[in-house]
Amino acid sequence: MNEERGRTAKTPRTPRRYRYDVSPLRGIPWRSWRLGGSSVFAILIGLVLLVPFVGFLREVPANPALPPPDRSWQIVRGRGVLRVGMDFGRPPFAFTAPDGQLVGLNVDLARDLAARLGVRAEIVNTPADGFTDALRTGRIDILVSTLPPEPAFRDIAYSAPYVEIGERVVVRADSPVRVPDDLAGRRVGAELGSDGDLALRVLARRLPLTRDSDYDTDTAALAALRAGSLDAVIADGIGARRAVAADPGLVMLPQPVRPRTFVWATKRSATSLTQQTDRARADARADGTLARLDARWLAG
Amino acid sequence: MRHERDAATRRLSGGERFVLALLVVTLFAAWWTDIRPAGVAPRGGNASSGRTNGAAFAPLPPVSAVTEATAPDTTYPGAGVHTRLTLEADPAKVRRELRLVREMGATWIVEYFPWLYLQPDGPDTYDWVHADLVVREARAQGLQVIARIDGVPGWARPTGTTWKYLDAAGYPAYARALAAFAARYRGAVERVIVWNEPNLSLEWGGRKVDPAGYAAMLRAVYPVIKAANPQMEVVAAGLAPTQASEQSAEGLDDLRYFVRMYDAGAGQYCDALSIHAYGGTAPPDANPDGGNRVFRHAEKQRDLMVARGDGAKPVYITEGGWNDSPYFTGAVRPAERVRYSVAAYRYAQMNWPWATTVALWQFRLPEPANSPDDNWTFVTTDFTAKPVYEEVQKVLRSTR
Repeated sequence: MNEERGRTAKTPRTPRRYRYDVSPLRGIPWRSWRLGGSSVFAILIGLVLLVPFVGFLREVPANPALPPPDRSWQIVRGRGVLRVGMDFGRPPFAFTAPDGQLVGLNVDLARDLAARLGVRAEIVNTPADGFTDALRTGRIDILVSTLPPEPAFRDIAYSAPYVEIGERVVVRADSPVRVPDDLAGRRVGAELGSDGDLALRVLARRLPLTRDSDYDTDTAALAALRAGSLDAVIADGIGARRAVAADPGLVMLPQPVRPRTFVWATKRSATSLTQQTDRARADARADGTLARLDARWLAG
Repeated sequence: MRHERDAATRRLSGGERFVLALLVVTLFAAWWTDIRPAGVAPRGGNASSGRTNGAAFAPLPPVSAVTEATAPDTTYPGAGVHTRLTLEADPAKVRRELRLVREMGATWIVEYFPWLYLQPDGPDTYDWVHADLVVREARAQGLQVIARIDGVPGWARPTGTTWKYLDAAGYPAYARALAAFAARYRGAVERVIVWNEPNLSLEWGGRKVDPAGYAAMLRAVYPVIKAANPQMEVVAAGLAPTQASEQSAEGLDDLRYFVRMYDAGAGQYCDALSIHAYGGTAPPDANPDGGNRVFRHAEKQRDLMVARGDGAKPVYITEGGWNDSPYFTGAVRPAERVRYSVAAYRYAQMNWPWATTVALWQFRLPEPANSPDDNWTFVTTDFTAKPVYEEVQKVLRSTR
C-alpha cells in the first residue's frame, strides 16, 4: 500500500477499481499485477497443465527415447584395458594355483574376451557382495564371475548364459534313462544335504521314485551307482561332469534337473561395450572356445 | 481498452468457480502426493499407521491382541532359528516364512530390528510398521521372539562414523528406543538383546573394542527399559567366537572380553545372556577345548557365568550352526551340515538345561546373496525346503 502511494505521488494515475469476490483469492494484491479474473483463471489452467510434467522432469532428466551418447566402448578401447571383475575365491572359476597364479574358467574367459576385443584384460578381485556396486561405480567394466541372472537390477545388463551348472542325472552307460522323468519307479541317490539332494527331493515330490540321499559324499553315491544299488545319482553340474569324465561307464543326461546358469554383466547404460562383449561371447561359442574351456575347468 | 476493462472487472461465473475450485484441489493433490517436501510427511500417527511420536509408549493393541497360536508341535521346545526378515517387505512372505519355522518344529525366533529403521527420521518419531508385522505374524504362529536391536541412525551419531558407532553421548537415545520397543510389545516380545558382538571392532563402530564401554552401555539402557516394561528381559549381546589377541585391531577373544565385561559390572545390568555357538568344521559334541569355533565353546562362557554367580540367569543361543559352501574355508560338507545341525539340537536338549533356546543361523534370505551366506539357510529364497530343513523337521516334529 505504501509502495503504491509513493508511486502515485510521483506519477498521478486514474485509480482503477477491480472486483475480486472469489473468496479463495481474496486478500491477494492482484491490483498491483493489473490482472483480471479471467487472466488469473487462464494462468491457473496453465499451471495445472504443467503439473504432470513436474514429476516427469524431476525423475527423467532426458528424453528416454534419446539416451545420452554412450562412450563405454570408446573409453575401453582408448584405455587399451578391459577391467574384468570376478571373485577370486571360486574354484574352479577363479582361484589361486599353488604357484601363486590366478587361474580358472573365468580367468581364461576374461583373457579370451579381451583378446577378441584387441585390449588387455585387467582382472579385478570383486567379492560377491560387491558385484553390482563395482559395475555401478565404474570400478570394473564387466563382471565375469559366478553370477546368476538377477533381473531385479534394472541398471545391469545380463548376458546370455556362458555356463550351465544345474544339477544333472548321472546313470550307467547302459541305462535306458534318457530324461529326468524316466527316473519314475527307480532308485535315485545323492549326497545328503547337497544341491543334488535338494533337486532330488523336489523331483521326488512329483515323480514316484525311491530317494536314497543318505550318502556322505557324491563319491559314495556314485560308487553305489556303479555297484548297481542305485539306478541314478543326482549331482551338481561340476560333480556330474567330473564323474563322467573320470569313468567311461557313466553318462550324464544333457538336461539339468534344476537349471542354474551364470552370466556376464555390464552396466545397462554401457550399450556399446555390451554389444562388443556380446559379439565376442557369441564368437567364442561358435568357434568352440567356450566348450573347450568348460571341459578343461569344469570336467577336469 | 474498454473490452479489457470489462473482462477484468466481470464476476466469475458459477461454472468457472467450480472449475477453479477443482483445479485448486487438483493442484493441492499433486503437491501432496508428488511434489511436497519430505518434511511434510505425516507425523505422530496412530497405532494403525504404525507411526507414532516419542511419547507413544503404550502397548500396541493390534499386536498384543493377536490370539497366540498354540505352541508348535515339537519334540524340543527350545529349538529356534535366527530369521532374517529385516529386508523382507512382503507381508505374505513374512507369514509364509514364519509358518515354515513353526512347521519345522522350532518354537523360537531371533530377529533383528535395526534401531535405524525404527527411528530413521529423528529421536521423536518411530516407524513401527515392519516390526509390528513381524511380531504379529510370529505370535500368530505361536513363536517366541527374541529381539536384537542395534544399528545407529545417522542423527544419533557423529558425522563420518559407521552405523555401528555409538558413544556414551548416544546411550540415552538408544535407551529410549529400546524402552519404546519394550513398551510397545509388552506381552508380545519378552526379550531384547542389547547390541551385537561388541567384541568385534566392526560391530563397535570401527573402534578398538571396549568391554567396560559395553558394560556402561548396559548400565545406561537397563533401568530405562525396565521402567518402560519391567517384564522385559534385558539380554547381553552374544559375542563373536573370535580368538583375536590383545593387540588385534579386529577384536578380542570372546572369553577374555566376557571376563572384562563382567569385571566392569555388566552382570548387574542384564537379566540373561546370549551366546553365539558356531560349530566351525567340528561336530557338535567336539571337545570345547578345541577352539572358539566349536559348538560346545558355549559351555566355556557358561562356566564363566557360573563362576561369577550368574548361573541362574537364562542363556539363549541366538546364533550358531554350520556352513556348507564349497567356497568358504570354514565350511563343512553338505552331509556334515545336515547331521551336525540335527545333532546340535539334540545335544543341547540333552546336555544344556541352562540354554532356554538354541537358535541356529539363519532360516532364509529375502534375496540370494550369491555368496557363502546362502549356505547357512534352511530354506531357499523361494521357500523351497532344503534337506537340512527336512532332516531337522524329521527329528523335531513328534507327529508328521
